Amino acid sequence: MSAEEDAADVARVLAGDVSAFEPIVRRWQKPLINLAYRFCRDRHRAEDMAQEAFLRAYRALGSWRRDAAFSTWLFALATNLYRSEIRRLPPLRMPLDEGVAPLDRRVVEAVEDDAHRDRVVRNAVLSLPAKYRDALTLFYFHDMDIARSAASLGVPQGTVKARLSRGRDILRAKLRSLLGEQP
Amino acid sequence: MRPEDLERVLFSEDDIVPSSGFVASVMETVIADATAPPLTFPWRRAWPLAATVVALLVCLVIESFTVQAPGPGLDVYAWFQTVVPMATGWVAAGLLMAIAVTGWSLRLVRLR
Repeated sequence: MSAEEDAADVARVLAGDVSAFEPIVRRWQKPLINLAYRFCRDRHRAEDMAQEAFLRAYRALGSWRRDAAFSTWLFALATNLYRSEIRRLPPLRMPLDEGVAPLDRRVVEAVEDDAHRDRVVRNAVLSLPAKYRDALTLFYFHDMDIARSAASLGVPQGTVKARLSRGRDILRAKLRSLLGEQP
Repeated sequence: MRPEDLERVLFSEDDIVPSSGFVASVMETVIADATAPPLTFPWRRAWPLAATVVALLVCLVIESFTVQAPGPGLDVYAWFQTVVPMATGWVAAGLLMAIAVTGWSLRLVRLR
């Protein structure tokens, strides 16, 4: 993805050429939909959220300052929207409250299946308090890049590191309970 | 579950592929947004109210500077002489704030 292409297309859109927004959508549709998906775990809802993010980006294109990469600005805008959406309408997930009893033997055996275990882990991430969920989601989405995660969340890098550490601790505790593991 | 396994699960997530009509759907929405007529300020409703407020303000200002002899009985005029200058300031401040907010709203509508 080219920063120059983004800048050129944005300039064309701002000059009145709405069709120049299409290449921007083509370039960024996959990352924005996948980021939304990690927040909601629902493919259709992820596309709806990404569509809304693109619409807001189109309306706010004039506010993009060239001192940051277009992608940084776009991800920050999308992250902000996704967090609001999830706060407004939380995703459906299995109950993962603290202190939940370990699953029975049958389920434990099923959990041994990798795919199922992965789903349990990802659902457990959604059950974390928002600030830890957001930090973990953005960190792994951005290929474990603290700086990009911090830029998307609009918080200092140190804050992201602290939230990642605490988030992982809570997540491991939840998973021990869910997967029936000994501490 | 070992920490490295947890990291692997969280890191190695398969991407989903956007549906084929996604770009067209977004562009349809964007074009509809771009070509939609801007929200117009409801001048027809706002003018009478604005005119009333301005007239009231003018009256208060004139009243505050007009010297009148106090009449017999209840000294309402003296009370007004004390209160009106203060009230005028507040009304003026309120009016200025209303104008500023209206201007800001119009600017937002234009930006949209």
